[in-house]
Amino acid sequence: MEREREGENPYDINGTGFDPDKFIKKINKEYSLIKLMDTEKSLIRQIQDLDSDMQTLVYENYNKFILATDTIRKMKTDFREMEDKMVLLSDNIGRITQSSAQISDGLKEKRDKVSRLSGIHDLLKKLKFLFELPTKLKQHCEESNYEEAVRCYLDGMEFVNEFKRFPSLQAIKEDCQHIVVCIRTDLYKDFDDQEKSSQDLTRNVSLLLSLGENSSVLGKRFLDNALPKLVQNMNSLRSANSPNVPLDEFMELGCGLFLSNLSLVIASFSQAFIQTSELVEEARLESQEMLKKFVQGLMDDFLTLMQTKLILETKETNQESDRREDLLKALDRLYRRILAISTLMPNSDFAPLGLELISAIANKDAEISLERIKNSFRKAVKESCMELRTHPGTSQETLGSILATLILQMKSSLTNLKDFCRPDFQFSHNTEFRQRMAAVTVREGLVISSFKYLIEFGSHLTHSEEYDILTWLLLAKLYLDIEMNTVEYMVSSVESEFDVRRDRKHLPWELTPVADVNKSLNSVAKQLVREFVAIQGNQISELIKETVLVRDLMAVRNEPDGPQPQMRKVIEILTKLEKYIDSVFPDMDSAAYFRSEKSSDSSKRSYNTTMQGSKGHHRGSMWSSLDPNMATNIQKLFSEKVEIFGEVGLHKSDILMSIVKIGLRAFLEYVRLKTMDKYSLHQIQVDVHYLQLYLWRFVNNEGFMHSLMDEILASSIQRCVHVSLLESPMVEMIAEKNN
Amino acid sequence: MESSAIYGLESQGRTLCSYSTEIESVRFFVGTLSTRSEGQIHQIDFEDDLNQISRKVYKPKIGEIWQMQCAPTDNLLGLVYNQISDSSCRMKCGIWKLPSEDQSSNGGDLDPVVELELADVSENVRSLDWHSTKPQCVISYENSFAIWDVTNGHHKVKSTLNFPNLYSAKWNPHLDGNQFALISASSVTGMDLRSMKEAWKIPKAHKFQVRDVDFNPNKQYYMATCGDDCSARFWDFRNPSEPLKELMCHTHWVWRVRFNTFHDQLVLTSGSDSRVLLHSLASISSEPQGRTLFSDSEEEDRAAPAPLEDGILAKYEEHEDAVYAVEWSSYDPWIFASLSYDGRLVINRVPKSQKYKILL
Repeated sequence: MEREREGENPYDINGTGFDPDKFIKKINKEYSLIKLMDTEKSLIRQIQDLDSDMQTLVYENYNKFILATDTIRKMKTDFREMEDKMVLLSDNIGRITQSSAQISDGLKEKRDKVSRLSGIHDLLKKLKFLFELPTKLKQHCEESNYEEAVRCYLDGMEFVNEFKRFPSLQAIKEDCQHIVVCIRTDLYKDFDDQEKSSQDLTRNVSLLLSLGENSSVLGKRFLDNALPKLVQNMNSLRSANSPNVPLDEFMELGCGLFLSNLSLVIASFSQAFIQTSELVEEARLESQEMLKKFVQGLMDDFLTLMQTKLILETKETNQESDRREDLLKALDRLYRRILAISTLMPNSDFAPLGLELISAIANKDAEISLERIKNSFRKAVKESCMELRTHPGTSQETLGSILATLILQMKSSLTNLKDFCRPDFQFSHNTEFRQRMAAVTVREGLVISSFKYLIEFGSHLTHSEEYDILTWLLLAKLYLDIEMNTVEYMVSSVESEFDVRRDRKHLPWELTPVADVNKSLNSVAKQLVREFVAIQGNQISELIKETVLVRDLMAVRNEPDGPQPQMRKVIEILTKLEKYIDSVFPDMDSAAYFRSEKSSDSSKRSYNTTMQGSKGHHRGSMWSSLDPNMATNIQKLFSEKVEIFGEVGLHKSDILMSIVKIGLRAFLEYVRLKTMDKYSLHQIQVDVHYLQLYLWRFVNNEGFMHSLMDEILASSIQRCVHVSLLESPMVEMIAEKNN
Repeated sequence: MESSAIYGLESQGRTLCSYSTEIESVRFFVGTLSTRSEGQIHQIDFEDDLNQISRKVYKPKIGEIWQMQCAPTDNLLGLVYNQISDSSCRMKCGIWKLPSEDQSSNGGDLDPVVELELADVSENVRSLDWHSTKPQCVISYENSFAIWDVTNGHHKVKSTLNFPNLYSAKWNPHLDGNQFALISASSVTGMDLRSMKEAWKIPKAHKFQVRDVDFNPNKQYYMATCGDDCSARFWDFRNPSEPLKELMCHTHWVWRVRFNTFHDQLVLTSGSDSRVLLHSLASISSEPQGRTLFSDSEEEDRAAPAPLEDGILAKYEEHEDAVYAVEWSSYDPWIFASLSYDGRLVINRVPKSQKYKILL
């Protein structure tokens, strides 16, 4: 508080903390006289103003107060009058209540009488109805108006139960029951009548049910009645399952007749036994179960029959687009029918069975297409094999045509299969069907299987005598081309067209990764090239073997007069191979450039002269001065090891180099197995030089070639009994003879 | 890897054999090959503990030695040699007696016991193979073969038969020694000694020439072949259409394949790619799978090591030229020798780790 007060200004004349003493003191102290007098004047004026304001306020309020007092006084007198009127009103109402009670008491007796009379009237009416009931029943019965009869009976029985205690009525009851038994038999009789349709029976069923018959017995009778007709339909369908019957006729029998009848039966049955309120829940469920069993058995037979016929049809129609269209439409019709039946039956769904069937058809279709792809591929390879034999050098075209055939076949098969997913077919709306179709049938069953077939074909090719060895190389190239982009292209086009997502984890089917297929294709291709190289290398080895191994080299008694014919043959073979391999596995551009440079006449000569000038002489001199064993050992120290049967590169020069290596290395082994005299040594000198003259064209690593040739010569010298070498010019002269 | 012992011949060599009689040490014989000097036989004794080689040189005074094999009994050495004259050469074979231990310490001349020469055949000899128990050997010529009986210095031809294009012949140690295999081009034929008829035949054992055949010493009907298609194949010769296993580990012709006598899951191959390979083939060996024979030692309670898996156990690359011969020591099953054409003999051991895996 103190602080608050301190906070306020005690000198503010309008503030709450105004202290007059302090104010006076302050102005006394601070103001000049004139200012003091001014302040006094203004204070006096202010005080006078305030006084007059207060006076006006007091007068105004006093007037209002007087007015209020008058009003209160007036109200007091009005209320007293109203109180008197209210007392009078309540007295009158009491009197009215009293007289009303008096009137009501007077009328009570009469009212009771009337109601008793009306009860008797009802009873009499009922009795009359009862007495008339047997006649009425009989009459309805005779008129076959069973609905009315049953209704009357049921009504009558209600009364009979009411009047149980009167024995006279018992006779009527018995009469009625007797008649009803007749009605019942009549109604039951209809079940044995084949001509009665299910709808007719439905009425009987509901009547019998209201007569309290057991629903399961009735249901069985009902279905037993329907069965022979359906079986008959089925049999006619079965007898129509032959290639002579056209598809539309068969489908008419199947969908038009059998399924329609079946749906009719199902509809009537469910109307009578399931969708009726007359039966308890339990009985309804029981009936439902019974119907399910009944329909399931029939459907199983039906679908099996359909499948056999449709698969047969698939086989025939795979190529004819008109009939295919018919087949697809038939499938759609069948599926729609099956869906319709499923909607009739709440507890069973035949759609999966139908989809199963369609999937089976689609699989069959894919299978047939796959078989066709396989056949056309085999045929294309076979033809290309013939083509290559007659027109060598057309490998690129052949390769292209095989690939084109393959892709074309696959594409057309895909288009065919795509029809199964056309949106105008009801079954293609099912997601699971579409996914399974795409993943299992198309992707795995057709595309991947086709490539897998190629892999299998390639890996068995080398064991088969049927195809030319040149085909191996062709296929190797083909596979490498396919690996490069065709697999990915085909698979992704399938995936995009059929909407399969590779990364979708939850697909229940395993998808073969493209990389696996590519890897297998690649390894098969390489294997084919390796086998090709091994076989060709061996062919050359065999020729060289003839010049060395099988001859008695000690018995040769004259100087060589030229390279041996087998050596010429080797070069011939390699020349032919080069042409062929070049058309399949051409070298890279730069390598091709060098080759063309090299093969021009002038450069060839210059190469030869350098060979003669430096390397040839150099070698000769080295052998004469050094122990040959040492010479090769020293050479080996500086040259890398030559792997003979190793990985083979996929270009012409790599392939040829590998073949040459195999031949030359075999040459070395054969030489080492022989003992020879100098003439044979000279022959080998000539042969090696001859090979050197021509082989350089085929190889991409002359170092390898020369080191192998050096080893051949070194080993020949070791295996020679009387070593004397021909001079290089002689060797060259003889080697170039007859060229 | 453990160090190997290397010994160099002065000339080329193609043949090597292990000494298989009494002595308790590792001993190999190596033959030399030279068209211009006489052939020598180097006796190589190997001290495993010291990793030391000592040698003796014997001179049988004949031409170069192409093949050589110790008789399993009698201290005899069978040789196939090339007799070179000025204008011709011929492959012949004969039997030499090895001197007993106490004789001259530096080797010296060897005396022939007998020359096995057929009167009516002038063909080159291709190979010689001693019977594993009897003093008999089978000799193959270019187009025929002969069984020789060499008992107590006497010798006689038991039987001969023509057989086209023969490469070599080898006894089957099983079946009471009544069978031997003949290699001809790419086929291998099993011959029955008693009937002299074909017992079995693998018509296409390899794609090209077959170079060697070796029978599994511990498992009847099982054998190995190798050849010019760079592969070694393993056969149950009752099923000649398909090999049990194929190894494609060399990059040139495979010249030798050898089962280890004691542990036949160990197989050596050598080839003209200068490599010697030691393979493990437990899956088709006589060793029971997963459990080894020698497990009764005190380490029984130790966790059994994983059984050896099939594959290459070791590569030996000490050679710089084609390796035409490789042999296990007949004394120590963990030691073997290989000989390359340039005359380098290398004695190697099975890697210790692998050895313990087999033993423990």
